[in-house]
Amino acid sequence: MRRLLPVGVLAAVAIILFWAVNGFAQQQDKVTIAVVIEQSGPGAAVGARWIRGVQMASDEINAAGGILGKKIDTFILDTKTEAPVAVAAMRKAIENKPFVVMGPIFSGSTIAVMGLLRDAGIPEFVGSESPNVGKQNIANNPNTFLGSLNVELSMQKVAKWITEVLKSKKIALIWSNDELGKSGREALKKLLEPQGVQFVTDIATELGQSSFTGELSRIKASGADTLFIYMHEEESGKLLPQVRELGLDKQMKVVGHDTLLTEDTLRLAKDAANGVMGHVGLSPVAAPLKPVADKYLAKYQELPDHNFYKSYISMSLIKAVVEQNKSFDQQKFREKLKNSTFCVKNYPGLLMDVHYDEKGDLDRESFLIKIENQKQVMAGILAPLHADWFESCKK
Amino acid sequence: MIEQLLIKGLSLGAIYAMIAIGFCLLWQTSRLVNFAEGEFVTIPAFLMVLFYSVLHFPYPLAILTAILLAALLLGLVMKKTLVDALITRGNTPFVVTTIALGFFVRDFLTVFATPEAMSFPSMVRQTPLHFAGAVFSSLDLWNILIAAVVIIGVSVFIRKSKPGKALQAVAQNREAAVIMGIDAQKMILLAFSINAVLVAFSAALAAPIYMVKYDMGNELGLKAFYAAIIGGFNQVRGALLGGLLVGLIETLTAAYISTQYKSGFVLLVLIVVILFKPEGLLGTEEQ
Repeated sequence: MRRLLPVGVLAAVAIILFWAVNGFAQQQDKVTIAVVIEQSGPGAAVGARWIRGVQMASDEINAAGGILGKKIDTFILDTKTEAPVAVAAMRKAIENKPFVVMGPIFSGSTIAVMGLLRDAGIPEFVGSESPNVGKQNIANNPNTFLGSLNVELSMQKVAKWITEVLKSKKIALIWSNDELGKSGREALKKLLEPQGVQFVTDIATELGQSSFTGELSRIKASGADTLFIYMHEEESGKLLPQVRELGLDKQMKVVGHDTLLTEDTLRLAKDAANGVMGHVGLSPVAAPLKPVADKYLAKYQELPDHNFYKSYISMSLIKAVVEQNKSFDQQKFREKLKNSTFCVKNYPGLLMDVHYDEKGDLDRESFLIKIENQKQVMAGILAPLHADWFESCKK
Repeated sequence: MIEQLLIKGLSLGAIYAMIAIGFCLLWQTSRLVNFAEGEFVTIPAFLMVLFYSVLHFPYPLAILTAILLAALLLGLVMKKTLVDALITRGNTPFVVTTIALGFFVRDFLTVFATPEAMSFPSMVRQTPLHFAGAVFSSLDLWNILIAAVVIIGVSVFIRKSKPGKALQAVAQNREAAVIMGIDAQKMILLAFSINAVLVAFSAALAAPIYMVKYDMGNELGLKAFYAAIIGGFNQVRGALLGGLLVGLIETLTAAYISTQYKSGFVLLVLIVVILFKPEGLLGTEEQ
């Protein structure tokens, strides 16, 4: 028995060593990306598109050899579209030491978790378009990067379109009473009121609200020439049929930004969305984005929304930055993304040239869209706000 | 503007009223409060989407099949399982169980159906109708009409038919009704079946406005519960009045005060009613 004991100990040590080395080797072969996202609750639909973006990009990158030879390995945690749950999910994600975190989308959750990632030194790409994300990033060392133009920057383009093209004088504004709606409302009013545009109604709505007759009756009586809607997809999809029922679409122009024109809104609003116009950061009908939209359509039998593109492009950006750095150093990753332009000619997965500033906000081209026959139709391309940042991509 | 607000308020109120009447019927016959009543609206709404959008049944057949299946599931199956098991233990275990049932239904639909909202067509084409300078929605007028027909039908059935009279007898005094030879268990089954039909109709009317989603019943169930308390939990006509009041208060508050206060105003009315007439506006005091 005593003779067998050392043999047993040796065997146990060998097994443990084998597991450790094998596990370490496997760890070395992959890069972990956490997806902390809205899988249930009001944000479930947009969260599902975000996940598809991560998965489609991961599959393509892995099929092409991964990032610096490492395969992307993702795991998903649900925020339930609630900020406290998002915080708990993010703590769990951080325990697994991911290289980057993808998500969340909802601004409330994003702002709630960004401090955790800052402390952990893990970069994240988010679906939020709130300008407060950039404002809360540590100056000159952003950790949180947006997947699309922030609302303040988008609204600069929208305001120009409203005053110069639509020539609106009286706007009825209806917005969702959360971070998304508030930031859009503040930005729009700040830009348009000094130009003499009057906001004749300014109505906040609840998340999950279904009936809008009271609000729309006020708008109908307001004498507005333009109705600007800035609510989430589900509420926008419920609102548009009621806008048409009350004949508001005949009385005024119905316009919005991003969420009013996405596939989810069109699916719910059906033909009540026809005639709606607006600005979108990313659209499946835009020429640079269409090839990926076709692949998505073939796989999921529907067109992608902007949240899909945000995560898809962000995944390609991770590859671009790491390959430029030639390392998985998170500090270098953040530094490289700061005040940098990334060109499609060098990284085709980006789909569009993009520039990140010192706050983690981005700039790029965006689009004017009109809805016809329940489909997005391209109505115009809007140049980046800082065209000079993109000079290097034209050379 | 006021005319269209009143019509919209009555339209929403009619939906709340149908669900509130279900609350009242169950309370009167079985002394049970069903806290999964909102999910009882969600289930037939999902069945309608299943039959119409997935299995491509013709529209009327999809609605009819969903109503019949809902009556079977939420009437017979509910009675034979949870109600029979819990009725002798009083209301509290049933309340806790139905709260749990509500969570289960929502999670089940999220995981096994879809977490996304789905559109469902209305029974009539949604067009604006112009009358005396006001704009009405055809859907609102239709909702009021259908709800009126269903509520009148249920009322006539309860007042005039033999089973309806037996149901009333059980509601008024169960022990006396049993002594008179009325099968109280059958009456409870009847009440659950009528409730299932009412919630299925309200699902058909609510789906085009609320969209079909796993949590669509949350708001509907809660508002109907307020309506039943405001109107009187032990009176069908009280539930009807309560439903219409809640719909009107919500709509008028959103139009003239603020969207943020519309639920608050309903609750304010609820508190006032509880303070000054705890049995509800048309309710009667219970021993």
